[in-house]
Amino acid sequence: MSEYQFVLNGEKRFIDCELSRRLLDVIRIDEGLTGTKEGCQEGECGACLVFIDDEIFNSCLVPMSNVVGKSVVTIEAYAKTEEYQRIERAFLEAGAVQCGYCTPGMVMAVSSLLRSGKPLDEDAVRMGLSGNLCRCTGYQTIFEAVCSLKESGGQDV
Amino acid sequence: MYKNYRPNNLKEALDWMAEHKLIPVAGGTDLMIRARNWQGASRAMKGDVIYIQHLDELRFITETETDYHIGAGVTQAQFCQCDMLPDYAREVVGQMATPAIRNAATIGGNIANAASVADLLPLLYAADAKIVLRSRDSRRVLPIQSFEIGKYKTARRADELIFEVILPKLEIRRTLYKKMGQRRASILSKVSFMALEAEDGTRIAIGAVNDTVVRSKELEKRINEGGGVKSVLDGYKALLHGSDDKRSTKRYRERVVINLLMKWMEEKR
Repeated sequence: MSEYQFVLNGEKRFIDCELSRRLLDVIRIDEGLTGTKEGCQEGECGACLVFIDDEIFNSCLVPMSNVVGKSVVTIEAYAKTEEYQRIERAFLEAGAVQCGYCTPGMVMAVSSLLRSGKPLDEDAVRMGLSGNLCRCTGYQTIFEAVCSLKESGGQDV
Repeated sequence: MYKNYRPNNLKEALDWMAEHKLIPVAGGTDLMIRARNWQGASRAMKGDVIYIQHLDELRFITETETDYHIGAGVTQAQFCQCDMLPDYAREVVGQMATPAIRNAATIGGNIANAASVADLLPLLYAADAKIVLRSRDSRRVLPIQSFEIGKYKTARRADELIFEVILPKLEIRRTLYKKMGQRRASILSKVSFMALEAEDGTRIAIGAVNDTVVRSKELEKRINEGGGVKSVLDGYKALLHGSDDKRSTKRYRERVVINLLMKWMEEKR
């Protein structure tokens, strides 16, 4: 058994694959967690964002060597948190989801923005989501959803 | 098939680098793209790989009376968040890539990659930064100009790792940084222009036009002495050897550089 471990959604895992294997492949193929999406494969689109030790990373660019000893959280586990529920409701209220492919990554970026403690003005939101591409919504409804979180947005459907 | 090495510490890394030909991988934001392959397939690395992102010895930011010392493994996000570092430098790094990329990409990686569009380089050229390289048996300190010897080419020997960047402390009076690109985030620059006014006068570094950053102390001297605007602009024009490519045209790049130079010189008057 491998000497290398990491924690995935709160559970310990041994790293038995090549250290160059992408975290994204481990999540989607080896673990069958398909909430994390593969888009551009080059860190442009943000569909594959996950948390590593509470910070967002493009999992398509992370070799498994870089998660040794770290805690990875994917959308599947994050979706069980209250913070996620608030973001989901805000997205629903604003109509911020169309095809939904970018949404898991978008939600991770929103969460990171919330945790940064920055005021949720339009500039901060645009900067915070600058690594996430959406080809359906034209972004405006997404920005509205996120900006609404600073007031009572997302509190109730 | 290539081998993957994961050293426990810097000493082990440098020992292995001395004994094998290895490709150092830090945040992976560049090399993992170059090694791209089908979903699930092994990454197409071009040789044996050594991972260095986890080495704590490369992650430090310290200062002396005269300089900041920034470990090669410091991420762009850590650089931006470090209050000790000067605002003009943090502003440049804060405009690179995207929030998630900045969490992974390292200072050393941008320097080692030596892309003509590397946005950290105009800053380092303007500030007269130095690069510290370490191998098992040696330590070398090179000015950034001597380290970046061409497009994707550096003076790093195969057994060396970039250990740190030494950023001199400057008394900054005025700055002008412009990154021109198709969009603001996640973009390779058409032009990356850094002008500083420090205690010794103007310093100008122009990136993303030539293969390496343009900096001319002679023309800076001419600006400091209040020389004619035309002679300065002509001097810079003669140094720009850009070409048309998928990001922009030679003409557009030169126009932007000239406009920024004029803006800089007008503000000075």
